[in-house]
Order: sequence, then C-alpha cells, then structure tokens
Amino acid sequence: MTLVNRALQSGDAYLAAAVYAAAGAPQRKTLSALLFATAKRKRQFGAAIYAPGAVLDVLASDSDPKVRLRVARNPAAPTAALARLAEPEPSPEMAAAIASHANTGPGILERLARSSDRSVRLALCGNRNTPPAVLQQLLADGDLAEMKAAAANPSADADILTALWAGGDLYVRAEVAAHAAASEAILREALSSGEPIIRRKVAANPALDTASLETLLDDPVGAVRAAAVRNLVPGGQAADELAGDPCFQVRRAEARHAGLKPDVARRLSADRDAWVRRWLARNPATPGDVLERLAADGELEVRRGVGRNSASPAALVRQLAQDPAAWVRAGIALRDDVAEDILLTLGQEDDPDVLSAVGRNVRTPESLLIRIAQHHDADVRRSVVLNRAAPREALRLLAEDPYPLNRAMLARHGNLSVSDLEPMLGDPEPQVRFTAASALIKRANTN
Amino acid sequence: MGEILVVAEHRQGQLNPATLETIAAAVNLKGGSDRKIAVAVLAENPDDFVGQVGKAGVDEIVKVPVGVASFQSDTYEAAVLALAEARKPSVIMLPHTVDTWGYAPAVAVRGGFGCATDVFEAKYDGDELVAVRAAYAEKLHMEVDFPGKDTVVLTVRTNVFKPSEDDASPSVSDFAAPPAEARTTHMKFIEPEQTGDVDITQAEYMLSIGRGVGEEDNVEEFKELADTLGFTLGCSRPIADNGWLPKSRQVGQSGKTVAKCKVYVALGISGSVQHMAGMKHVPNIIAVNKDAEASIFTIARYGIVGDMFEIAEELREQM
Amino acid sequence: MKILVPVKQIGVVDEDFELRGDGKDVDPDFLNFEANEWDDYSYEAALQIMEAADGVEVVPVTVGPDDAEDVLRRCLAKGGERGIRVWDDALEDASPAAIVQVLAKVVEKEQPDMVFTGTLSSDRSYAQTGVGLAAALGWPHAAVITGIEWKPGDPKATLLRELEGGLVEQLSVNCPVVLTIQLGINTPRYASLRGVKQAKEKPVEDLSLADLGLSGDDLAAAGGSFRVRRMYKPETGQAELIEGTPAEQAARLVEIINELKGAA
Repeated sequence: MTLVNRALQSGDAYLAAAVYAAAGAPQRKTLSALLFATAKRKRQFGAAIYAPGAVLDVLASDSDPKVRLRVARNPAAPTAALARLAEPEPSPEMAAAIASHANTGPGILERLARSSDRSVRLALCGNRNTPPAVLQQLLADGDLAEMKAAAANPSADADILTALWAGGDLYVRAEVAAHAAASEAILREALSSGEPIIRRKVAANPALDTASLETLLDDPVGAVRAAAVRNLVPGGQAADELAGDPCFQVRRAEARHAGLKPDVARRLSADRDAWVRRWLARNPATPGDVLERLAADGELEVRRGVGRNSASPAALVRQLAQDPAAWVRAGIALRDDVAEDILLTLGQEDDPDVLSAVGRNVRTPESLLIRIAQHHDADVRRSVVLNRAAPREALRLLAEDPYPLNRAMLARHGNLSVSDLEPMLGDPEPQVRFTAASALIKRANTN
Repeated sequence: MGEILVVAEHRQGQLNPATLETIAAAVNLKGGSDRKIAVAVLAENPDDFVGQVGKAGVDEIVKVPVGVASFQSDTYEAAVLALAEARKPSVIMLPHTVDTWGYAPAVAVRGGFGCATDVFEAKYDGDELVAVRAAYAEKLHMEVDFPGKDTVVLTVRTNVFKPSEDDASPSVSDFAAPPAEARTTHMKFIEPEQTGDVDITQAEYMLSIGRGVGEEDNVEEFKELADTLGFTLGCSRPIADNGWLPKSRQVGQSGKTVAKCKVYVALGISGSVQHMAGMKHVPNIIAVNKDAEASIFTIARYGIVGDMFEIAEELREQM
Repeated sequence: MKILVPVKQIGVVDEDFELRGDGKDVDPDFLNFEANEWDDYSYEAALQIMEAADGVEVVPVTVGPDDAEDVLRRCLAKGGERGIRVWDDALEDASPAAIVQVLAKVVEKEQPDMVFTGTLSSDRSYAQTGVGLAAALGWPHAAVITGIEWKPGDPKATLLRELEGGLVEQLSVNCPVVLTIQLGINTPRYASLRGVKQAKEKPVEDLSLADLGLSGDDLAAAGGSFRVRRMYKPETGQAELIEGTPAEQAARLVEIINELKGAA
C-alpha cells in the first residue's frame, strides 16, 4: 500500500500532512479533506513549524483569518505563501507578522512600508531583508524606536548610519558604533567618545582596524579593553601585558583569544579567577605544558575544559578519563578522537552523563551501544538515537521505547531500515507517525 | 449583614504574613459598608498572635485555643465549622496556602458553603458576593458568585493585597472549639537540605539556555553569565542531549521541575511543552528569544524579542 | 485492597481563543484536551503501591464526556485492569461540589481502601476536589503530598507534605484516607507500546448519574461551590515587552532582576 493510500485509509491527519507534498493533484484533494477537516485542525497545522511548505501554502489561502494569521507567524512559512498573505489589504496584525518574517521577500517589504501602523514600521526597520532604500524612506520620519531597530539592521548602509549617528540618542549611537557598515568618520568619533558604552561598542566593531583596537587596549575602562581583546585578530599583537590586567574581564578575554601566545598562557595559568583558567583550558592555542598543569586544577570545570580541548594530547585525555569527577569523564567520552578502550571502560559506568556521552560517540562499538540502548534511563537510551553512526542492530531496540520522544527522534535516524520505519506509522504518538512517514517519503525520493 | 471572618495562619511559632494580606482583602471587601471583620486565631496559645493581627479595620479578634501546636486538618475544620455555626459569617477568608488547601474545601463541603479558591479580587455587587480568580493558566479570569449561599469560603491569593501598616485596638473574645478527633499526627518538620551539589529544584534564581546557544563553547559564556548574576544555570533538553550540560541541569519533562524558582531567565528557549512543564509555574519568567511568536512569551512576565548572545553580552557588561 | 484514582481531562487554551457564546467559558473549539499533569503522579503513586504488594487493584475514574475516556486509557496503558467514567449532561460546567458528590458515590460503590487525587488540575486550579471528597466521605485526608510510606494492611500511612519555602512536614495519617498528590513525588512512567495496545481492550464502565443513584436535580438542589458569571481575557497575562537596543534592554533587565531579588 502506498503511503498516500495508507494516510487516506487510516484517516490519520498527521500521515496526511507528511505525505501531502509528495501526493499528486487528485490525491491532494482527498488528503485535503482529511487535513483541513476542521477549523481547529487548520489552525493547528497553520502554526506547526513541522508543517510542510505545501500544506502551509494551501492554508495561506484559507478563508479563516485566524488560520492565515497563524501561517504568517509560522517561521516555516514559504516566501510565496507570505506574498499571498500580503494581498490585497492585510489586517494590521497580519501586516506586522509579514513585515517581521525572515522569509518575506524585499518586494513585499517595500509595499508594506506604505503602512502607517507603528508595529509594521518597527518590524520593517528590524527586518534584515528590508532594502536600504526602504529603510531610508521609513527613517525619514522615524521615531526613536524605529531608529534603534534600523541601527542594528545589517541592511543599513553608511548613509543611513550617518543619519542615525547624527539624530539618535546614546543607545542608537552605540548600535551605530558597532555596525560593520559605519563610516570611517563615525568610527573615529566613536573612538574618542566620552561615553564608555560607545567606545565598548566600537571596540566590538568587526570593521575596526588593528591600530585603532590597539589604542583601545589602553582604555581606562576594563569592559572596553576586554571588547578590544575579543576583537583582535589572531596572530596580531595580543598585548602581553594584558595578562596582568587588573580587570578580570580583560584577562578572561585574553585567555580565550585564538592568538594566545604560549608565554601569556603560562602567566594566565595560575590566575586566581577560575574563569580565566576555564577559558584557557578550552583554548586550542594553549600550549601542552599549560594544559597539563590545568588538568590537575582543583576546579573540576577547568579539568573538564582540558578534556574538551581538541588540542589536548592523547596522554592527557587518557589521564582525564580517570578523573574523580563524572562530568570530566563525560567530557572525555564525548571526544571523537578518544581511544576505543577508554570508551569501553567508561561504558561500564552508571553515571547518566558519562553513559550518554559514550552512547552518542561515533566510535563506540556496537556491542556497547546495544547495552546502552537497553538502559533503564530514557535519556541515556536516547543517546544511541543521537549517535549518527549507531548501527541498525542497536537502533531497532529503541523502536518500542516507552518514551515517545525517543521514538520520534529514532524515526529520523538514517541507519533505520524501511521495514523498521513502517510499523512506526501506526504509533500512538502523532509526532512519531509524522516523522516516520516523512522519513519514508524522503527515502522513496532519494532511491 | 454577616461578618467577614478571617482565619489566621501560623507555623513554627511564626504568623504567616499572608494572614495580614487576607485581613487587607477583608477590609477591601468590606469597603464602605458597616460589615464587621473578625479574625480567628486558632492556636495552642492564641495570645502569641493576638498582638500581630490587630490591624486597621479589624473589629474583633477571636481566640480559639486548640490542642495542637501546628496545623491539623480535623481540628481546624471542626473549629472553623463551629465558628461558622456560632457567628454566621457571610464570608470566611483564608490565605491560599498549603495548609488551607488541606482543609478549606472540607469546611465548605461539610458546611454546605460556597467556596472559591485562589481569589485575587472580592467585591459586592449589590448584596451579591462576587469573587474573581484566574483560569487556564492565568490566560483568563473568571468572575463567580454564590447564589443561595449564606456563607462563602474564600481562599485569597498571596502577594496581591497589601497589609495595612496601621494597628487598631479590636476587642478580644474567646471561643471554645469543640473537641475533634485528630486523624493525622504531626511528626516533625524537615528543613530543606543544603547540599553542595547544584540542585536546580531548589534554586530560586535561574538562567536557562536552549537550542539557540548553538555550540559548546557558547554554553561556557552563559555559565559565566550565570556566575556573574549569581543565578543557577539550567537548560532545555537539546543542550543536555548534546552533553554540554549535565542531565541534572535539564528543566522539564524527563528533566526536573524548578519547584522553588522565583525568577527564571529563559534565553533562546522556544518553550516546548516538555520544557514548560518544568518551569511554567515560576512567577517571574523573563524570556529572550529571536522569534516573537515563540511559545515561551505566552507564559513570560517580561519578554525581549532579540538575540540571546547580544543580550547576554550586555548583561555581562552591565552587571 | 483497592486504590481509586480520580483523573481528569483538562483543556489547554489556544493562543487566539474565543469565548463560548454565553461568555462563561472558552469555546471548546479553542481548547486542546490533555490529561492533567498532576494525575500522572497520583496514578504512578498508586501503581507503585500495587507493584510492591500482592492483591492490590488500581482503578482510575473520571467524570467527563465521551472523549474523556482517553485519559482513562492513558492510565490503563500504564497499569490497572479497568476504569470508570461517569457522565451526564447535567454535569456540564459542574463545580467542585457536584464532582465531589459524584465521586463520593463512586467511592461508596467501589469501596476502595485509598483514594489518590492530584493536588489540582491545571485548567481551573480549584484544588478542591480531593479534600472536598474526603469531607463528603468523612475520611481523613492530607493535601500536597510528596512522599507516601504505606503498604496494604497498615492502619496508618507516613506522609511527607510539601510546605512553603521548601519546608517539609512529616505526618502520619489513619487509613483509609484521601491524599492529594503533588508533582515530583515520583517519576511517572511512560506507557509501553504494548501497554497502549492492551489498554484499548480493557473495560471502561460508563456510569450515568442515575446509575449512582443521583440526579441532576439532586446536584442542583445541593447548590454548586459557586456559579460562573463570566470569563474574560485579563489586561495582564501577556508578557511585558522590553524594547530598545540590546544595551537598553539589558539595562532594564538588570533593573528588573534587582527589583525582583530585592522584593524576595
């Protein structure tokens, strides 16, 4: 029996939703009768982010305004559906929903800009797809809230930003100072601003040159220095003296910097602030001798950081696999470069975090996954479902998992066979049926 | 015109401040009428509390000695029913608390009284008592009345009515409660455990992160922020599933219920049914999410439609 | 030995709901029906006692229309062999007082040794049914229970009761007893797929008011706990949106957090 027939015969709206896009025109008609049987059902699918585009497309033309509004507010709504919803005179609520939607096309946004409704205008000012010319037009008589939204909009160009810098309040100017498209003149003004927030924002501007950043490293305000350190390109002059900066924010930023130099790392490794050491432990630029020292840190999160650091040498990883703290061992079990014997040892534990990490590790051998798939804790069992390399033999043990979410997530797994998926079409949980049907369709299409 | 009878509540020798709020609710209900307000103190030694409940508006304090030091449902029920029988109050008002959950409905059933719980407004519409309470997870309010009921039991939501600062000198009377067979026996109070481990079920202030956090190193930034704020870090399921935070930090179905939480800052959490099951009861939910339509905003008290990273960075800079 | 567990189908309102024509409730078309969360815990508590001893029967009972049978099946999928559903059109919009009368008759008929209810149901949150039922039966009762130590035959049960501020009271209670069970007392199980299948075959006894020796007039004569005048959408209940740039929003958040911390 085809999936479409099965959906029709079972009268299951969730199966119908999953197969709708794949069905031909005559079948779609019958499926529609099932899918859109009641206003409640239409509202439900209209708001569902899992609803296929084809279903949302149909609902965008529904006669019930509540249904249409839900589609407009659904992040999954396709561009064409939104365009249709914008015709001819959308209600203010509808217009605002379309104006703020990430999938709305520039043409529709431009048309909506004729609206005088405040929430529509505000949404347009914040929408990154709004063309600069439309932004400019909106700002010609824009209020402060609209200026704020536009100042943070990546679509704002240098001209708009210059106007905002001149006409906005402190917060508008702070946003402009951080904007990558801000003009040279604005950046220079911001650098010498008396307002720390402006200097902090310009210090975070990705377009700021290294020389300017370096002057900000001497700023009297710690938060400004820290922002400048974070923005320094790796390999640049990550000023050594900042390892001794009195402001912990600066030292933390230094400790996590990609261009961290070995001797700076060494100096920071004994920092009183645990967060400096935590960031250092996670930094791939931290040299081996420092990592070794941090692996013996009294703070378990520092040791966990070393265990999560991709640059940590195998010997250190092996040492941390025996750490007294389960959270540290769990971090080791998550590594995709960990030796199999370590996984086998950690797989004997009963700590849920350690076991789950082993369960989702692509290097864990099948026999161990089979054991984890039968663990009494539903979260631990789910880790096998989350393991993209898990073999079918382990996965099928979860086909009748009592926890519905585990079954729903299982239905998405690529290593499940068609014969494993088919029984899931009769699952008591709608989410499982829908996911299983979607997976079967995907396979039919790729075969 | 029957009086308004407030029943005081206390535990471990301390008057529950909700008692004073309930008195304020009674004063509010009385309005300009000449209805009397009496406060009944059921206690082993009612005198311990008499001085504390004589607030402005109270006409009389009724001392009701009972043989138990702490709340006992049968004893309290019998005493309140006897008071109702003797004094014929129009309204019996109690704070909406764990103790009254345990006996107010029983008083109403046994007395054949009207009853509405968790009431945050009570007023007279002519002679008709009208109470207002919430329904459907606070999404609606419902106005109820009590046709044919001479006495109505109301339990009053806490933190709504402001207690009066002013004391009065009400008259004090004695009332002998009838003996009641106590069918439950208090054994002991157990203080909440102070464990060294993080126990999110006991946390009062929480910062919680969801899928929007993106990658493991970003999780560290939010841990750092939580530390700075002095909040306990929690998460939604996908974060724990990824192994980025321990399972013990997961809020919601298959995770934990943050039973003691007062302020919950949800960052990048869309608000799945599963997650909300563990935190929707928190009185002060602050949600930050990019998607203005995210379900989390339907239960939040404060909302920010925006980027969790930008807000987090600014919070860190400004704390 | 039998434990009766009253459970309830609750309505969760949709975002853009509308009120019923008479304005006294939400239009049912805008309600999504679910099992009450608290009842998962009370049912689990009963199942755990059943599994720890021989000869214990757990019977779920609900007062609700046809489709409320789902909540009984949901229970039976986890354990228990039969359920009871009581319905009569006269019970539409019934207040707790009426539900209490109905359940008291079911108790009379079933003669259970214990009754476990949820502390409250999340739709109306009356929190009256369990304790009201105990009063109608003349049974001992305790509310907001987070721990039960009891086995069949024990004349007393030792309970934990969750109080404000994390304080817990330990108390003992004479049996039979009505307990209202609080979230977190246990970890409710999920039904196995086989359990779900088997539950479809388990008997559910449908009772009318007449079957229980009651009539709509009886309920009306006794009067409800209250009468609903109207429902309405409150002004509040919507999140207060904090506007401005992130820096501004964060500044306001810091203020709010400090206020809330100060007030606590």
